[in-house]
Amino acid sequence: MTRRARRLGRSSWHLARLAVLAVLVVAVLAPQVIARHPWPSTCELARSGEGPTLSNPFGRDLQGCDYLARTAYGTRTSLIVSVLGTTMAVVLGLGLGSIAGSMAGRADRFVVFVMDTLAAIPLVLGAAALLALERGRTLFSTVLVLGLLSSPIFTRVVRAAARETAERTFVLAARAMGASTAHVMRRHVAPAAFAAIVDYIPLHLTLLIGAEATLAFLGVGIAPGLGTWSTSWGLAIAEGLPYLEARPHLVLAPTAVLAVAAFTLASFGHHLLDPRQRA
Amino acid sequence: MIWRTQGTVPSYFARRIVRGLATTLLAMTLVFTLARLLPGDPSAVLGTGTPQSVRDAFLHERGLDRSLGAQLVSYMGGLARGELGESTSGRPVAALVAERIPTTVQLVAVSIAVEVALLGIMAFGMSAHPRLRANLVRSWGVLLAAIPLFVLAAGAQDLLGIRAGLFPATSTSGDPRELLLPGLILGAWSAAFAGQVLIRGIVNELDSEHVRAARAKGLPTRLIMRFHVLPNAVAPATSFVAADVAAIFTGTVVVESIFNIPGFGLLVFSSLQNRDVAVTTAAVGLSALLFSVTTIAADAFAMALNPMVRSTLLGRRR
Repeated sequence: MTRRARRLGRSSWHLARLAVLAVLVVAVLAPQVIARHPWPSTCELARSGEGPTLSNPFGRDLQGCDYLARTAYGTRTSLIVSVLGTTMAVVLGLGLGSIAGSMAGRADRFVVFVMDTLAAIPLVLGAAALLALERGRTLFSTVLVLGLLSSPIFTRVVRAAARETAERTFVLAARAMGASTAHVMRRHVAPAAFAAIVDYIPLHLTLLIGAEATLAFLGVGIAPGLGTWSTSWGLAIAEGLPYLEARPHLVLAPTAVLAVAAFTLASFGHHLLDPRQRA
Repeated sequence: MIWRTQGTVPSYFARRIVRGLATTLLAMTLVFTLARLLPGDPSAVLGTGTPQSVRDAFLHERGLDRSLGAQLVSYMGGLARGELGESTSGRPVAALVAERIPTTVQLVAVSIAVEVALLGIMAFGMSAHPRLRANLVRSWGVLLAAIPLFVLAAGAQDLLGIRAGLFPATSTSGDPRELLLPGLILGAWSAAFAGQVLIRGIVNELDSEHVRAARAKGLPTRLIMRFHVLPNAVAPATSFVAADVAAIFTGTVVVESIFNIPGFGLLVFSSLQNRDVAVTTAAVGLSALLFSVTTIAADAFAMALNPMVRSTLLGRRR
């Protein structure tokens, strides 16, 4: 363990955010561990919208279901969309960015043009317009759309890193020793490119959590009918909004969880958000 | 965007404008096509018990009963004539845009004014204890950024508009004062992001050699901030604010729907509910166009301020 890592480990802030991360991982892998009342099987309509109590710390939703359980199940959808969407954006960014960065001329200009186009499409509005035809709106299509539209930031960073690496002396040396382009890409360009984007990943996760929630608010979130998968933090918040006055816990509880998760994830990276990709 | 070809300033901007238009057109085509390529049945939104004739009418209204190629050709043909297609209400989208956009432009203007004011307060309020205040602003910004805009807007409407009664909570009469609270939220939300750029610029400058030299010669912090830190730190935030115009424009979809402001954003919101894709595609196009225009304007501004930017943008120092 390096000294730096030990210093981080000692700080209670770091421990706290690791704890949040651990809870989130548990909620994704096994929401039933967090949900004491299985969702949505144990609901009492007579207790619709009840506020927080000891046995239901988050209160109950309009169907009288335990809101903690629903929020726990929502974690799974929200975070999986965010993680898979980010993965897709990273893969696209690495692929397109290293192509553009290591090949000058037409290929580069083409990739840059496509990237500029995708970057000009606002993330949430663009995703909403794509999903509006309700053809998809499964987990899969939401991930696909968010991943595609949010990829330009990675493409741009990877392209710059690849371009810079290609001019470094160790790459020239490798080429002089007869290394193939594929070898240079794999051994020299890809690691440098990945190192450049690693910092952007935590904020990207945050960004997609917010984007998914906003899609739910706009009415183009993941469609119902997917069982326990069709709830998410965003959907819970959006459904609670009309009752903000009378039943504030319907909005506050999932918002607090979403904000803590987003804040924690963002704190692992220190890069800035891209202005076009907000929601 | 770095161009490797050399050229004069006007020809550079001419190319940027052409490129911006091409990007906008491609963005619209992409959204138009991809929306139709995603798997599934668009009329599923009508529910399972809907008779076939109603489903057919739904698809016909939106032109979805024709082949993708035919839809695309007629859409592009319309674009070439300056038309944006027809809404399901039967009205041309271009007319709807023209009718609704003035309100949204007002809201965007209020929001940008709020954002710039907040950034100014941040920059000049930083003079006394720059590092301490930088940390404060940074955590406030990240916290604000961690909450989705629609929750912020609804929360502010409830707390400041309804409970505290400080602002009109919804738009009913078209009074410009009704844009105040929505503008404050959009502005504060954007400033939370642009503020991060500003703060990072300030902190970077504080660590630089020339600031250390100024400190060594005994210049007070206030003057160091004023003459050595802020001029350099403000420039990157300026270009960020320009890019924010498009972000705020898309934010109006959320905010106008919450405050019931009858602008273009509200139209886009209801079009999303009605699956009126002609309107939503036009919204994406407008946003892409706005983004291109403001980015080009920001580069022109930066070029006018700083001759070094000119040589970088024109590619003479690559």
